[in-house]
Amino acid sequence: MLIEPVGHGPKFSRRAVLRGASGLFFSLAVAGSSRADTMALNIVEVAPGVYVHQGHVELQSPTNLGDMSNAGFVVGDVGVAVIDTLGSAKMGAALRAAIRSVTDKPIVYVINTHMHPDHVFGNAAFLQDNATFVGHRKLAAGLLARADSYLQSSQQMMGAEALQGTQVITPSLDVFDHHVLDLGGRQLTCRAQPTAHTDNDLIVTDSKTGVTFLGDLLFDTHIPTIDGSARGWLQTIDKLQGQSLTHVVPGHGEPLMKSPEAFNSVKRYLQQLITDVKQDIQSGKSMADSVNTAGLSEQNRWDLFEQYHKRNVTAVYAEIEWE
Amino acid sequence: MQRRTLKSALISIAILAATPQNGYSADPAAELWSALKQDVFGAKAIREDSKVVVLEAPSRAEDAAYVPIRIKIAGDRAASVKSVTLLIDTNPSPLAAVFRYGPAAGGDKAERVIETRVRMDSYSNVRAVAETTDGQLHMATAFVKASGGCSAPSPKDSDAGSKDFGKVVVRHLNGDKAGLAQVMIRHPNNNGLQMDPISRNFIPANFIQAISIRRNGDTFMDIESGISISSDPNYRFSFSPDWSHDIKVVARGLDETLFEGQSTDSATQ
Repeated sequence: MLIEPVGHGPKFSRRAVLRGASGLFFSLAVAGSSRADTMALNIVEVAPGVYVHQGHVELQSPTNLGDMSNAGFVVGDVGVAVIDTLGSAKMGAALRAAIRSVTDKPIVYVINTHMHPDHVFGNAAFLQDNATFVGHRKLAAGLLARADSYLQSSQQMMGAEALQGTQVITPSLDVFDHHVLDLGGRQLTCRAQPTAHTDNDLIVTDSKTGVTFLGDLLFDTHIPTIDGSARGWLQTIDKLQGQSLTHVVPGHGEPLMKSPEAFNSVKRYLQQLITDVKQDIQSGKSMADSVNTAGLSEQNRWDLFEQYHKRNVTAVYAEIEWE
Repeated sequence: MQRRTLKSALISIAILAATPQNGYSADPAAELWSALKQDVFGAKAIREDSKVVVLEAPSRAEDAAYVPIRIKIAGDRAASVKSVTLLIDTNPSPLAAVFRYGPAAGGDKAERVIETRVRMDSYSNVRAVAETTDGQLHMATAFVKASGGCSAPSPKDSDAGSKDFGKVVVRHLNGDKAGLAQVMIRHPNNNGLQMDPISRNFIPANFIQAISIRRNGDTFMDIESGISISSDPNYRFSFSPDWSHDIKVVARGLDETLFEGQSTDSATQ
């Protein structure tokens, strides 16, 4: 099956230059193999040996095949680690083709930053590499509990054909606190986080460049989605802002941002929601009414606000009404 | 596979054959409701009637595990309504709750409101059927697009399970003014369809099956509830303006555990 290239390199290049985020990276469109069943996937080298693919800020669709999150890979002297695999086995295969266009070193680790399908449903593309799948100790439980509904909704959104080959694959290596993966000449430190965006968020820091993959603990452009704890997420952001992170990769939006300021928008959004919902609960407003008013000041600041905001209010309401 | 194909072919034929003769629709939603209606209400006639009962629900649910439902009973019919049954056609257990008003509900002519939150497994009609003292059934229906709410893990943080378990909060929402009260029960309301995050087995069903709301020892409302009610069951109800702040609530789980709560004069503010 021939699929049109889904990358958006030119747009990215322009924005990157405008932002001046970093002089170190350049955009490259990887042609992939000439085989008709792979597709070109845009990747950018954000730091030496550290590559990011920027997914569309969209919902899943038959056109994007689940290419709606950021994924990355890090190339060491002896092997490659993949960080998140996009939202279908087909997109996972496209990511793999992009890796193969850069290096033929073995793919030894596939790290998932959390359980959401747009970050893990491409995992099956790396079974052929005998890679070790790495995730937060709670990822497997969270994903398995939701797997049926994830598969069902993905199929509704993208169609059955888009999901061909997609499998639910859970970590073979559970990270309890932190775990160091050696790629030769550089190490990746995976750190399990307390409940925030989900209850299984994991961040990955490259020792050589200092780049940290934050998964969906950081959103850019795409409205944050709350599937864990808004209060926990704010605490985690405070903690991360106090650490010496410099360059960070968000789960959605720009491929590379600077900490601590990169977190400010997500922080503002979460704080606004908590403030408004708390006020609604105190004045006796029900959940059904709160979703129509809480956090509306954020409306024009995010893409996909209409799709996710009310759900976020529902989650925050259910979380804080017991306080 | 062949057997299944044959069976579904036979069902299709049966439905097709039935359609012209007796006016049954081949519409699966209508078939489902027809069977459900028979199970719950027998042969009694049910009339869609917004003059008696109104059902408010989101057309598309934001979170299928917490779909807010509001039932309103018109003021001029309020005193004659003895119960309201909440149904979700396509849920594994369609009978979500039955609300039965008692003597303490009073006979005033104020609009009555009942609110709760439900889980929804797939797109479905949601129905509120009010029974009046003359035995007639009046219905309001809303179609809600939502799916996956029955298997959704609760809570979202799998380590936060037992925090405040069994706590019952009863509060008046309008301060000293009469009007609306809320009952919240900290209980996962496990429906048997959710997976245990540790063992990865299905968690046995254990849910709040009955709630008694009393005022000065008299029953205001008895609620019979099933697995379609969201975790941390949450009810709001309107009450007569002459109420003092002494609502007592006793909830009973499937395992017969009792959970009790009482409102206080200081209310919420």
